[in-house]
Amino acid sequence: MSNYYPAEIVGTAVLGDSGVRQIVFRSPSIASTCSPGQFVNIACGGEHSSHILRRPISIAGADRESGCVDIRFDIKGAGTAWMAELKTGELLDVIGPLGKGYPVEPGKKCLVVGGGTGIYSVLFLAKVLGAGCKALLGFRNSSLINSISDFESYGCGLSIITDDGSSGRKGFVTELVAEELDRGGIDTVYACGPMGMLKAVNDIVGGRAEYYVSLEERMGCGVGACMACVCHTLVGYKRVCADGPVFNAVEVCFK
Amino acid sequence: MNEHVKKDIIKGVDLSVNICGVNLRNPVITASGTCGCGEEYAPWYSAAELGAISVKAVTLEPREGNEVPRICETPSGILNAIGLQNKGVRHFVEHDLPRLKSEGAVVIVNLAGRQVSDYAETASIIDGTDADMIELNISCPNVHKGGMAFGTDKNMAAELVSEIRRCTSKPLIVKLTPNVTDITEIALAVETAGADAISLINTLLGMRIDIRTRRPMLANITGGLSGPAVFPVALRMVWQVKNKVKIPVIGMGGISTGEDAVEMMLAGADAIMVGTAMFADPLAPIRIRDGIADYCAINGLPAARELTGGVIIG
Ligand SMILES: Cc1cc2nc3c(=O)[nH]c(=O)nc-3n(C[C@H](O)[C@H](O)[C@H](O)COP(=O)(O)OP(=O)(O)OC[C@H]3O[C@@H](n4cnc5c(N)ncnc54)[C@H](O)[C@@H]3O)c2cc1C
Ligand SMILES: Cc1cc2nc3c(=O)[nH]c(=O)nc-3n(C[C@H](O)[C@H](O)[C@H](O)COP(=O)(O)O)c2cc1C
Repeated sequence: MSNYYPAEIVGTAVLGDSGVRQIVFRSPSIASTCSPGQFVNIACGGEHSSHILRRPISIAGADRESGCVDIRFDIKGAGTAWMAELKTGELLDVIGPLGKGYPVEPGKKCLVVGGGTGIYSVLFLAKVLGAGCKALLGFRNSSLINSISDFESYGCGLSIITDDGSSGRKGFVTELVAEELDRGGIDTVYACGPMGMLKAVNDIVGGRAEYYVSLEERMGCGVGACMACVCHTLVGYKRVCADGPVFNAVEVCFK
Repeated sequence: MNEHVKKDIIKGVDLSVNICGVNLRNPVITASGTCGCGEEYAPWYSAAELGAISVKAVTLEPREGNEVPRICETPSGILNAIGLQNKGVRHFVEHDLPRLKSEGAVVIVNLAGRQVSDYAETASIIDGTDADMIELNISCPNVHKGGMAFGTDKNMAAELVSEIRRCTSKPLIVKLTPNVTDITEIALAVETAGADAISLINTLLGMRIDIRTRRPMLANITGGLSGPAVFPVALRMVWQVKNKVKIPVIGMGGISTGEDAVEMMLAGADAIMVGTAMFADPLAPIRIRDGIADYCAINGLPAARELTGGVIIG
């Protein structure tokens, strides 16, 4: 069940050269009930804000004991720019956890694939899967690389690729997925990132493993009521915020 | 008094209102399309705590709705172009209505269509249920057939309303679009044709362009504006309509605080609806209900219904 009350920010950070922001806030109810793939919806602009819509941000990590929740985000527009100015001790107006996360089955060998802001959602998944997974991450260039030490600390395997070869291998993350699958033994692939990446991975997986994707769409209510953030599936439109954001790829109609 | 008649008494203020013979425990109704059929907001409040719930528009057959993106933000508002996505009236009657009624909610069925015949058939189906009221949606700006076309032509509006009047004995609310030159003309036409109440406003037709891509922000190109940005327009129209018609008026458009609701009632609203405000604050309807009670208590009004039409002019 979702909760709604102001949560105290207990830490903020800028990650790497890329300007990616991290906010850690205390919300025992979110921390104790959330799972990887779920998101929170954040009100931006403070009291009397002219920003009517909340901003959906994936849960990048949570710790039941301390009740802390970790989110990471890129500054894209007015809302995320405002969030980037928040300081420790201030209150975050947050609703969550929302949506359905990644289904996790113990004992499976998995790949977690992240591109762009999609890496924050699979970071939490890598924490839960630990050594049972290998993380494959794609960045446009080396300056955008972040959160790597967190992936490493979770004991999962890790491969990085950049579009321009400025760090690690040159190319797209899809190449890494193809190589891992060709090697065999992979039960499940999880991916979060741009639609083009999700679709390309779908073609590569081609039924060789279970494949789950986390989708992004512009949202209204964030709780499943308004029908704004829908995606095409085999059985018609489904709601990204409530039926997803994670879907089994077999039901998704990739554009 | 009938023991089933629920009245919210908060801070000694009687919040109940009566709309065409239907008792609402308080004047706050959640607006069609913003609260689904109530289920999604269950973590915050039950539909039975509201004056009523106006459910997402139902149509005779299921509707897919528009392509995405269907929503974008504007200063103090949003544009939406959902396109009436719903599972059809039969699904609603089988699944959603029984649940809402068993929870004790007062249910307003928002009804949309393409032509008179499918509006009429849908209304006849609803007439055979225990739904409390029908809200005839002649104001959706986001579909290419029917919808707002009926609400912008007083003859078409009157014709549709008199046809639906014949299909149902349930209280009939007609929901008007603000996208007209003179809203009082349409209001009078639907009153004469047999409407029991009027609700307004639906969304204002708008558009945004992403200057980076030079493409419209919505797949549908245009969409309906709602939220605080439209409040003064809505208030003006409620005031104009209330001065012309005798039937109850339900006011909406940008209400997000108890003060806004009080203002809307002073302009002439007998009850109010809350929509977009829930996206920012899921508890908005409850906060607004309590805000109305606060205002009445502070100003010595024993009942919220005494606010209606209380604006002092001259
Ligand atoms: C389920 C989900 C999880 C996400 N997780 C993360 C995350 O962990 N880290 C991160 O950096 N970003 C994430 N995003 C994207 C993030 O929501 C947007 O970058 C953010 O809303 C932009 O807001 P803004 O005001 O800065 O930008 P603006 O462009 O000014 O926003 C205008 C409006 O468009 C919406 N919008 C803009 N971009 C997106 C987008 N990509 N997806 C959905 N709505 C959008 C905004 O919410 C807002 O309503 C996620 C999106 C979704 C749907
Ligand atoms: C996402 C969304 C969906 C809507 N769907 C409907 C609908 O199905 N039927 C209808 O009569 N009005 C619909 N409306 C209009 C609202 O009921 C209301 O008239 C309008 O939004 C103004 O009120 P508000 O500013 O409080 O939201 C919708 C509005 C929004 C924002």
